[in-house]
Amino acid sequence: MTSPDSPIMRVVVPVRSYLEGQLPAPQLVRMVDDLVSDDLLSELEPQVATLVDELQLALALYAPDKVSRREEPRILIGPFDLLTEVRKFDERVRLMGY
Amino acid sequence: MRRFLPLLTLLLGVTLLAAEPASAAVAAQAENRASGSVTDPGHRISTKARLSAEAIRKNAALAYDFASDSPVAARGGLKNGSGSIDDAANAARTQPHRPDTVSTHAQGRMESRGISYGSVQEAIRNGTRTFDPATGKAVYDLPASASSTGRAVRVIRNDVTGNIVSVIDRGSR
Repeated sequence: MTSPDSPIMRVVVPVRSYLEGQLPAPQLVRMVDDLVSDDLLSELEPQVATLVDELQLALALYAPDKVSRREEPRILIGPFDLLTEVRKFDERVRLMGY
Repeated sequence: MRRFLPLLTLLLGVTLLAAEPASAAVAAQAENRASGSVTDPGHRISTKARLSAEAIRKNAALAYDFASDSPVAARGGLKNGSGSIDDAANAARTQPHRPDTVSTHAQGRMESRGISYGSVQEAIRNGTRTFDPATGKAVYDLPASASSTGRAVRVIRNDVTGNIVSVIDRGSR
């Protein structure tokens, strides 16, 4: 379950790089989008797939630019909220043993 | 002059009586346009052409689009006796309406993921909807199997304002 070759690690590795400050948020957004677009979710257990699904939704709402966020201030999120969402994802996958 | 006063009063009364049907016709015509109903000219003059309570309740969820000359779904928080914000949002989704606005953020994502406006509209029309009344956020999920392009798309839209907030490319499988 905790194998580094596990498909979920393709998301967990960039997520942890982001949390360590080594990967910029826009790059994380693109990586997760690419993985989901390449049908990663079908390779995951349903519980884990749900987590990735929620993470991708949060990432899709991340608008680094303040002016853009002002268009939808109640829906779009900034860097602080993004960090909270990504941390939440990381804590959950850790609880699952990854 | 005083001799003619009763005659003048009578003439004025007759003039006013003659003018009433004309103004009633204008009012009836305005109502017909607002409710979208088409009636023959004879009906328009009818003075009993007032909207029923049911018609008023139904029309409360509608606004009027002068460009297309038809009633359109109301935008904005609506609350009446039998409706809710969610009802209005549902109406906004199902009734013919003006094209949605696309946020700068959504525009950027559509360009970077190669998602067309047509796919976004298809997701809103045919996708599964999850609505959050607290923020007005609605998520529309269109699976690849139901998509005309064979590509799964997720759209995040503010259903109160009709603004597309973000889009997600979910792949082709």
